[in-house]
Amino acid sequence: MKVLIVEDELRLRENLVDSFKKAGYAVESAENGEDGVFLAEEYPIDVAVVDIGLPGISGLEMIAELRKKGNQLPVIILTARDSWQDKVEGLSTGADDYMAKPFQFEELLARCNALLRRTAGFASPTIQFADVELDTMAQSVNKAGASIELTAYEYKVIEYLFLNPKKVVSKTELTEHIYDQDFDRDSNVLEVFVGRLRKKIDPDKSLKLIQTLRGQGYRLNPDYLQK
Amino acid sequence: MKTWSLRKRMVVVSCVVLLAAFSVIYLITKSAYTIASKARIQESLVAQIYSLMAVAEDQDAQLTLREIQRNDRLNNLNSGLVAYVLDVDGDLIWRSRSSDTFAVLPDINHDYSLSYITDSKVDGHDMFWIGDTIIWEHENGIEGKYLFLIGEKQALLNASVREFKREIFVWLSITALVLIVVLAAALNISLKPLQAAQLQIELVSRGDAEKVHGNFPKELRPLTDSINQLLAGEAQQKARYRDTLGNLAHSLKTPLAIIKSELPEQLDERSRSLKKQVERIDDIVKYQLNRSVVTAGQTMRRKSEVNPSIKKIVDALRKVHASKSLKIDLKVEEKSFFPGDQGDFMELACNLADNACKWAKSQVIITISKQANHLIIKVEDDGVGVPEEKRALILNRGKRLDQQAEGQGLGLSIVMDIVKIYHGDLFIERSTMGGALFELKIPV
Repeated sequence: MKVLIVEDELRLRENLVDSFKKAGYAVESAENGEDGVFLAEEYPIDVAVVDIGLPGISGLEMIAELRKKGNQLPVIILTARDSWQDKVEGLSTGADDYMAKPFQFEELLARCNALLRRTAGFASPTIQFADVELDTMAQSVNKAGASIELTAYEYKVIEYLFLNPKKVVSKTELTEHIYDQDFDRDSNVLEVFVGRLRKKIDPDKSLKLIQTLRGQGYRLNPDYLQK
Repeated sequence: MKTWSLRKRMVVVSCVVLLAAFSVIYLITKSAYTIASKARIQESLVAQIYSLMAVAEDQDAQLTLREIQRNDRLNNLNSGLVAYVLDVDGDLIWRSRSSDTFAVLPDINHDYSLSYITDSKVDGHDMFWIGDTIIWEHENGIEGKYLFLIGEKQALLNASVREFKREIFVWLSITALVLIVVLAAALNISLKPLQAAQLQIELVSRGDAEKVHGNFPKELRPLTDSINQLLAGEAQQKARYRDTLGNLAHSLKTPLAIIKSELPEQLDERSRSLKKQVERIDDIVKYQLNRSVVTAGQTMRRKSEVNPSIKKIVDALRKVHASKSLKIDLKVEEKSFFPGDQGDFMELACNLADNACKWAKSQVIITISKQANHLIIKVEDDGVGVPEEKRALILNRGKRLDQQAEGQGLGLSIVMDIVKIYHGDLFIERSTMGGALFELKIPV
């Protein structure tokens, strides 16, 4: 999952970038609204965290700009203003959630995860296909109740697939969403991740949860989609 | 009297002036008429006395007049005109037939003249007299002194004066009435701008208008312009104030956010205490800044319609609490108004509704209605509700921030503060859905 952080205060931005990276997100960051709009338009961002009090165009104006361009990127606004009028204003401008400063990073992360799930159409923090259950809060995967040990990148791959269940996800798209912009990408590495992931969740190859569509990418087996 | 409206003052003053003026006109006209009538009577009596003298004859050295005169009024009883000729001793020489009803002769001791009227009573009748004493030379050369007297009953004049008075009274009254109507209409026209200004100012002070609209005469313009300036200044100042506070919040909270973000994930004793202090500072900033934007008690009352903002609020809360998939029901009575700034209304409604969303299992109901002179905001949920012993505690909050239990949130303290400023009331009950029911009553 790729998060865009738009915050003008350098120290806070750096801390957020670090924390999100530690939490397994790919991160893009900008210090002003103009750059924020550019990044959101040019890169495959899954969720954005935007400070309202930006220099130049404000966070709200940035969101309005994105929405005007038809960009439905889910956005969490960071606000130092506590009045509900400001929060309501932000939410009705197009933000999807808010976080009042100062905040606990864990809560921001939880809200980001929840927002991603919601955007994918899931209400609860756990998503299940066949007997494989993904817990976005704990960032863990269970199969038939038994925990499966995954590396950070393996988790990112299965999380992205679970959150985009009806979609054929190309290798490029997957790479973009799990790596930072400046990361040296290699699609062979991705194939290795998917191969290992398959082995871990489907050792006897009976489930066939992750399908490969030649020349197109990966998708979840449509037989297991409830909806 | 001091509190009389301008219209009342002007009506009363005009009526008094009008009545006084017409009374004077009435009195003057009446006395002028009476004087003129008397002069006319005198003239006609003088003329008649001359014609009597002209027909007097000398017969056997006796002054004689014919019994029947050419002037018929002297022949008819009750004509009111009588004539006498008396000698110096007051003995009757001749009397007109019309005087037959008088039992006594006029008194010769009065001073009779042709040049003025003499008032005297004869036989119970008030009379105007004109008289003249002449020296008559008889045929036999002897001279005699005779008094020619002619009188008219005063009742005749009085009747005509009465008639005149009646007529003039009727016409003056009609004129006065017409004038009053015209005056009232004129008053209306000249007071119209004042009325318009009054209406506009009322609209503004009730919060129905943002500023005083319309073109006013130059006497009123300084007033309406000053009001508009005041309102604009106030709005501007408020916006600036809000902005400054927002910036202040931003510049205070970003460092706090950095401190918080720099705390290690695994908190030791020191960082736990640091975190606690950061949260405390945050709470104080939040509470004090929120307090200072509450705007009740401004010069002019603002009024904000509930409907658009409450819908925005519900949409916002649905987003914020999306992960709970709550059912938020909204019932708003048409044309409900909050007697103040939209920001204050949002603060009240959002804090209550946000709390309800946090505690609710599956449903929140927001009801906004008008009741007599109050706006009623009810927010209820199907959560665990507020135990009775805690209700008083919640309602008494807002005074001592540092004594608040952790995790209670500031929302209700802020609500209590705003409610107090608006002289409203907050009640906590149990909802029929099982959870808490917060009822706000704000006087409109």
